[in-house]
Formats: sequence, structure tokens, C-alpha cells
Amino acid sequence: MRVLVLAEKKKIAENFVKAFLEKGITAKYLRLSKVMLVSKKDKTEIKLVGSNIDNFDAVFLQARSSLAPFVEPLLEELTNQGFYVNSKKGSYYLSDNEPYTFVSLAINNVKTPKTLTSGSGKNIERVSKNISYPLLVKSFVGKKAQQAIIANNGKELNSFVKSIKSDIEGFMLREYIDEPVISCIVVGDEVFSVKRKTKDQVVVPIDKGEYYKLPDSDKENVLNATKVIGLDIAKVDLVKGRVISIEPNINLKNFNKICSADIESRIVDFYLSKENEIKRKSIFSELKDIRSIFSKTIFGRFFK
Amino acid sequence: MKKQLTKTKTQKEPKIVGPSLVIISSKGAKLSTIKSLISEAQKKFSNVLVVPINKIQIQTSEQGAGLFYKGKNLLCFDVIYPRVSSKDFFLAESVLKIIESSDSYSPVSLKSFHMTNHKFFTSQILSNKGLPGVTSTFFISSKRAQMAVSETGFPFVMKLISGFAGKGVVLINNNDQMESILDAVNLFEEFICTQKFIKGKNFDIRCYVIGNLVLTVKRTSKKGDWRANISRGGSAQLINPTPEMISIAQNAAKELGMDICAVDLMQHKNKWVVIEVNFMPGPFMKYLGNTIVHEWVRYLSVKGKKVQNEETKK
Repeated sequence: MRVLVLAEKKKIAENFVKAFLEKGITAKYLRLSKVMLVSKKDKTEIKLVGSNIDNFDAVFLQARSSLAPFVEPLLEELTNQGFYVNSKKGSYYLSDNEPYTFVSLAINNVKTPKTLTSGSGKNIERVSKNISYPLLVKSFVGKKAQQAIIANNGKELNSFVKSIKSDIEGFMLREYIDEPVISCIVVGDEVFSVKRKTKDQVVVPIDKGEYYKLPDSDKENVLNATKVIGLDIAKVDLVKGRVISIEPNINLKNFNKICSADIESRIVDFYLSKENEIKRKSIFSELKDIRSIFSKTIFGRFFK
Repeated sequence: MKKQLTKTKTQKEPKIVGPSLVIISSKGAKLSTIKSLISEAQKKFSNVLVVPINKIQIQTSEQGAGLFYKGKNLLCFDVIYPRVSSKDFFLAESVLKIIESSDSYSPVSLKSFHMTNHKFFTSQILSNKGLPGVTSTFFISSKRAQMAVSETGFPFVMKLISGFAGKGVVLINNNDQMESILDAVNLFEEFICTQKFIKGKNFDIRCYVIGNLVLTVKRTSKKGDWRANISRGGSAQLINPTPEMISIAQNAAKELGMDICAVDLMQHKNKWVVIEVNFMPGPFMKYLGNTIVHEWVRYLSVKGKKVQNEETKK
């Protein structure tokens, strides 16, 4: 297997490349900005600076969800061309828009806190009658959360909404559960969890967290969430068994230490478990190439 | 199984007799188009509601997801026609996802919203399916610009996609022009799409796809403008489409998952190529009157009746 590690920065990629190499897998890092897509006539090509995509069978992708407009066409092409990628088509659009994430999770039976989204701050107090306080309230500019507060009543909610002077896309109101946050790293069907307590409604950083054994029902919910979003490898946050966030980018530094695990190595094992799938795809691609060669000959009509 | 809040709410609300229609309008919707849609729709639908997308309340809970406007459950309507643009991205993804999971009919899909609001994505999907397009490139670092030029050559059209919305189109004729544009681009986090420039005559063709029907309009640009854009002072007239135009337009709509859209074509080396596919096309009322709006509503009402019949069978 030959893996292309695509990331925004070398620093993010180097531990993953090292882990692949240690298990005898060819791996190469390439900065995401060195990728260009070209669509012409009846195909799209993935062009890499200083490398060739045909030298690889699988891609390990680490990029912020805000890069969705670039990553989604790339995922479309990688998937079409038979590469295994840890993120599926549509997963970046899904994880880049919080209300859209919650809608998709809720439709697919993933447990999430009750959430309301509205494009207007007008009548927000009336809207909030469908949900119980305290609420986590966020305002959005574009798809990015701009400000967030915890409102304990309608008065606090209204004063927050009125305090926002800039043009915003909308508000999201979510039931606030004042319980520890469980941060999980998902690798296929494996979940590594860290419990993070809250202090004055602020969640402590990961390095101050402690190992946590996730109950089976919560694990099922976490795995269901990653499947719905289309991420084989992801970071998921839970509160009281409910998913509150999910993202494709993972930072393993503190997780490895707290969970006494080598998660990079588990990721490599997960990729190895996909090897049979990749080989089948390679054969399929070769067949497609043969078909394409013959389709341009006098036998063409038999290969259409 | 599809899951929506509508299942529990439907029983509590008054039953709507005859097909019903909700038009979800964009923040920047043209009032004349909406007024015309309402007026035509009232002839075919028993209940017509226009809802600005930013006034919709999106609810999610363990029971599923729902769309509400002033207490009304929008998923109780037979037909939902979202006329939204890239300006509405934040809310539109959720709204379209919920509509897709409901029993209501919509002539557009979430996939089509993503693709048509992304110039490169449209070109990629259509090229991969063998539909004629224009050589396009897509990258995130301005350092790739020379690599892109080797694909498209000069002149080319550059479109910046910033976050989630297109930010205008620039025609670039040479290296000097490109460098000065890229200097500005470097300041921001941008996604850059370039397309080989096709020097057409002074017109392009817009094909309105409405189910199996294709209405074709010739758009003539204002003298001196390289874009045949009506809002920039051009003109439009209905013409008879060629079989090639019909086939390209229908296939493009099918690949992008849309029953209603507009496919813009230009002639290049004696062949028609797809320039753009529009999720929320304007009906060119100034030149075509109510023709397009009338056909949209007629098509939606046929679909609405089908939804109603299926509901009755249940």
C-alpha cells in the first residue's frame, strides 16, 4: 500500500507519515496547497506538485472543515478514481456547517441536544419557547460561529441578540447541559475517550482531561454519528451521551498520553484493514483503463 | 427510515385541501419574480405560502428535524420550491436536507445546490459524465496559477470562491494582469477557479429545463461587455432549441439532480458547451413576460397532485 498524507502543514502530517513508514508502508506528505484539480473534456485530473497521484493507492487527509469548497471536489475525484480516503464525499460540507451537522445527525437517529436555528434575531424569545433554558446561543457570520454565550433566561437571550450589531447569517440555540464533555477520537470502530470537566461553564483543555471508558450505548451513538457524517477518522465531543460536535481534523498529542495508546499506529492498522478493498479497486481501475484503450479502437462499440 | 418532526405535528394542524405550495425565497430575491410566482401559483394551488429563508425556524431533536414558519409546519405542504442562492448557504444546507428527508416534492436537491453554487464542481461533474464543458482548474494557493495557465492558456476567466460564495469573475489576458490580481488574492483565504475563456459572438443560450420541457432563450450582451448578462443591460428572446441544446440541457439537469434549473450554453468550435447551471434562474420577465413562471408553476402543480394522490393512498 502507498499512502499520500495530505495535510495543510508538515507539522500536522509528520507523525502520521512516521507511523506508516514504521509499519513498512510507503507514505509521503504533500501540502494540500500543492494539489490542483483540472477538468477537461470527459475527465478530471488530480495534479500534484512534485509527485504523481498514480503512485498512491490511498489518501490520509487532514484539513480543516472550512476548506470544504476545495476538499469536496477533491474527495469526489479521489473516490471516483478508486482511492481509499478517511473522509467520504459530503463529509466536509457536513462538518463545516453546525446546524446542517445537527440536522443530518437528528434525521439519522443520532442523539443530539435539542437545537433551534433561525436566520433572524427578531422574535428570538418567542422561538426559544420551544426549547428549555439554559441555552448555548451562537451567532454566525458566514458559516463560522462569531460569538457564543450561555443564556439562562429570555432576558439574557434578548440582550445578547440586541448586542450584535454586525450582519450575521443567523442564530443557533442549543440546550446547554452542564456536564463534563467527553472528547473522543474515532478510528474505524475504535473509540478513545477523554473526560473533560467544566469549571464555571468552561470546558478544561484536553491535557487537563482524564481517561474515560465510554459506555457501549454512547460508543454506538458516536460511531453512528461518524458514519452519518462520513468520517472513518474523526474527533467527536459528547455531553451526557449526546453528540455536540464532530470534526475531521484530529490532534492526538494529549489523547495518546491520557489513553495510554498509540493512535497513529491504530490508524495505520485501520488503513491496512482496508488493503483488500484498495486492491480490488486497483484491479477495477486497471480494467477501466483496458476498457478505455479498447473503446478508442475498432472494438470500441463493444466497450461502451 | 426517514424521520421528521412532521410525523407528529401533521395530525394537529388543519388539513390542506388540494395541492399546496411553499416557495422558500432567498434573502436577495427579486420582488417581481416572487409576485409573479404567487399570482401564477394561486391559479393552480389551493394554498400558497412564500417564506423568506431567514425567517424559517429549523428544529432538531431526538424526534428528528423540522421546518417551521410562524408556527406552521412547512413539511405539511405538498410542494416546496426553494429559490435560494449562495448567499443563503448557512441556512440552505439544513433546509434542503430536511426537505429531502420529507415526503414533500422539491424540484431541486441539496447536491444540486452544492454543485451549482461552485463553478468548478459543476464543470467537474458534467465533464466526468461526458457533457461538453470548458477546461477548468481549481486550487487554493496562488502559487499554482502558472500551472493553471499551462492548462487553460490566456485569456482565461478567474473566479474566486471565498468560503461559501462566489465573489465575481475577472477576465485575465496576460501574466501582468494575473500577477496584480493574485497579489490581492494572497491577502485572503481564497479558493481559485480558472476557466479557459471562450470568445463567443455577442450572445449565449439559456435553456430553461422544466421537467422534460426545455425552453430556450437567446441572450444578447450589451455592446462591449463580454458577459451576456441581462442584468448588465443585454436582451433576451425565445428561440427554437436544436436537439443538441435539448440533450445537453436535459442531461446536465439530470446529472445535477434538478427538475427545474437553467443551463447556460455557448458555442465553441461549432459545438455547444455548458458555461453554467443555475439553481435559481431569473425568469427574464422584462422580455418573456410570464412564460417561464407559468411553466414552472404548471410543472410544480402536476407534481403536487401526484404527492396528494400518494398521500390519499396511504
